[in-house]
Amino acid sequence: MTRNPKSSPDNELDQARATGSNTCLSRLAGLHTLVFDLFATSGAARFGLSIELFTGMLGEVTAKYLQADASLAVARELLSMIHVEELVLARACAAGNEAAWETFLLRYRESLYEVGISIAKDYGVGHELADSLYADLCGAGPAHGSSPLNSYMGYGSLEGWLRTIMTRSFIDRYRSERRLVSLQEESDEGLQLAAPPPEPVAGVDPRLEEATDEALCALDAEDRFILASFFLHDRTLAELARILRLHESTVSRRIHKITVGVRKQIVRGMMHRGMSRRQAEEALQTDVRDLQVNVRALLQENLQETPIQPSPQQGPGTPKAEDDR
Amino acid sequence: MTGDGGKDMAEFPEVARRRLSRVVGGGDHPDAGLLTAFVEGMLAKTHRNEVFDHLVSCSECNRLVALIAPEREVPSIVQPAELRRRWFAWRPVRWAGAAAAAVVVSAVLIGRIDQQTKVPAAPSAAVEKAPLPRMTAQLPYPVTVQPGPPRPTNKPSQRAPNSRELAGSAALSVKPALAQVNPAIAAQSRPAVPGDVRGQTAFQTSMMSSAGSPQELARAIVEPLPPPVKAEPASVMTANVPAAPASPIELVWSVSDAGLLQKSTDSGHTWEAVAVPSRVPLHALSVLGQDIWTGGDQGALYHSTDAGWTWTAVVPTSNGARLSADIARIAFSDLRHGWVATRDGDIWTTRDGGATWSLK
Repeated sequence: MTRNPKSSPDNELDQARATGSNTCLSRLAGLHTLVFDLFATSGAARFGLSIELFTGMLGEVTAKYLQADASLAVARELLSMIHVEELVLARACAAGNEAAWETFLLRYRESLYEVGISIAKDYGVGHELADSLYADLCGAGPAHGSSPLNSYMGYGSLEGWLRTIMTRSFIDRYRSERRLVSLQEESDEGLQLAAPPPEPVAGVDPRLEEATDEALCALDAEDRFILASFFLHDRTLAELARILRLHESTVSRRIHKITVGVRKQIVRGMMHRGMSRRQAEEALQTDVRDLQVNVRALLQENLQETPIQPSPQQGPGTPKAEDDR
Repeated sequence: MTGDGGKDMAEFPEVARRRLSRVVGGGDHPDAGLLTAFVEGMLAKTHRNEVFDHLVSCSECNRLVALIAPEREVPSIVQPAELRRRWFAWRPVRWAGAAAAAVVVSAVLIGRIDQQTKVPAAPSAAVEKAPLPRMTAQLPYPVTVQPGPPRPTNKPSQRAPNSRELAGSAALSVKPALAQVNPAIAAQSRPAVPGDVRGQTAFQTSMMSSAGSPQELARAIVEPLPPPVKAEPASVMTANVPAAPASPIELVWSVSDAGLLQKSTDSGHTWEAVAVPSRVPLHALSVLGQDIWTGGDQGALYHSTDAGWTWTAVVPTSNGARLSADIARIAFSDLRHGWVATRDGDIWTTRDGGATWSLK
């Protein structure tokens, strides 16, 4: 179905509003011109998608990504960033449109294989991954339920989105098979996709924690991300450079700059809380891990001095087990 | 942890490392669309900060983002240039290079004086072996080096050829674009030797006669150059003028890691810095035929309609707001419709080729 040239944009949008979800579409009120511009550039008519359906898609997008009180300007910004042509293609494919599938295969078939291989670092596994995703995309069509393509909202390119869900699928698959893989094989593969164990919490001077939280909260979101990625999640400079689209040396300099700034800010915060500069510096240099080691050593010493009766459930690492060894 | 981060790691307080994931609320996992738009730099500002905060506390998504982040688009050939620049930054090498260049220039000047006092003869073997320093000493305009990637500097508009570039060149292409962009720089780069005026005139005449309009001239400077002619210095200038193209040229544009605009006429094997009157690093580029937009830090935005021959600084304004943030991306779907995204998440769009802008 194509747009009726005699009908006005307002009438059609009203019609769309009547057929679609009022909640979703009400955000598009006042954006008629933009919606029709997007409809024209999306090529939706090629796949027989009407303006009503198209408007419904945009309504879904705004409903998903905008807050209820979002202004018109924010809605306009979001819609301007949507890859409408790819959104329409994905939805047409999900609806089982043959022409759309032809376009999809022509455009993404090869790149899906390339993406699969680049993720899996293996030709066979990469192909398998791509085939599996493709089966999901088209096999779960309208006859078998909703295709994953229905969840593509046009935020980010379709190719990037396919890469993302393929990577997620690969991680899930890796995790599901991980219990069958020995530790040696895992380290040989060079992949560490398992979630890291949570770090134990140790008590430190509350003034230090407060000053630290204050300094970290004052940081820009991007700076916090850089610090966390590098120091907490062990991202490499190369990975960060790719994510932020910067050169590695730029990332390195930035990490250094933020680190120095945070350190100064924490010392300043502790001094505001009544510490001298020297005390603040000393407190900052105390490694929490050292505290934990000390506490553990102290506990072990105490336990050895006053041995306790081992319970049947007692595992390795207890004083009894140590003695046995 | 990588070795290169060891120094930083030592400076970063352990307590801060542990508190990092607790200072922000992680929220729900972003969907695939948000993460995709994030790594593609296409996320609205509000969403971007939300994703950043989530990635601080969520190891899973942080890892996923690292896996899906696209490879850098900058040509790999830039890397050796970086290394070479660092290597050349070593002071003794720099001094040695300067000394070698001084010797070469002296030899050329002595050779010229010697030739002026003699009857012109067939080029000797010595001239055939070293024709390039002779040519470079006479060029009235800034010179770029081929082959090999450009050595970027922080101030591309002030980039003038130095002695080591001249001495190390294998083939030369004259690039009047820099002179046109900034006549002051061109004046600085002109040699003070009176005899060179003759060569300069000859060069300009021949260039204009071979390339007519600026567009043709711009096209001409990206053509492959014929091998240097073994001839008298006076004819050397015209020998470097591009002749009729022998084969179609694949012109590729990119922005280097150092923030310089560069182009390649041989599918990325060699790169040549393009003079843009920007004092800040460039990051974004959009090319539609001869229509080129490039932008960088502090809202620096430049437009060329003649394949980089001339540039116009563009300052988008809208309702009293002015583009001053670092530009992250530029995209034009056609000559009129395009947008500029900043690192702050602002989107500036134009529907009339940059004449008017609106901020979204």
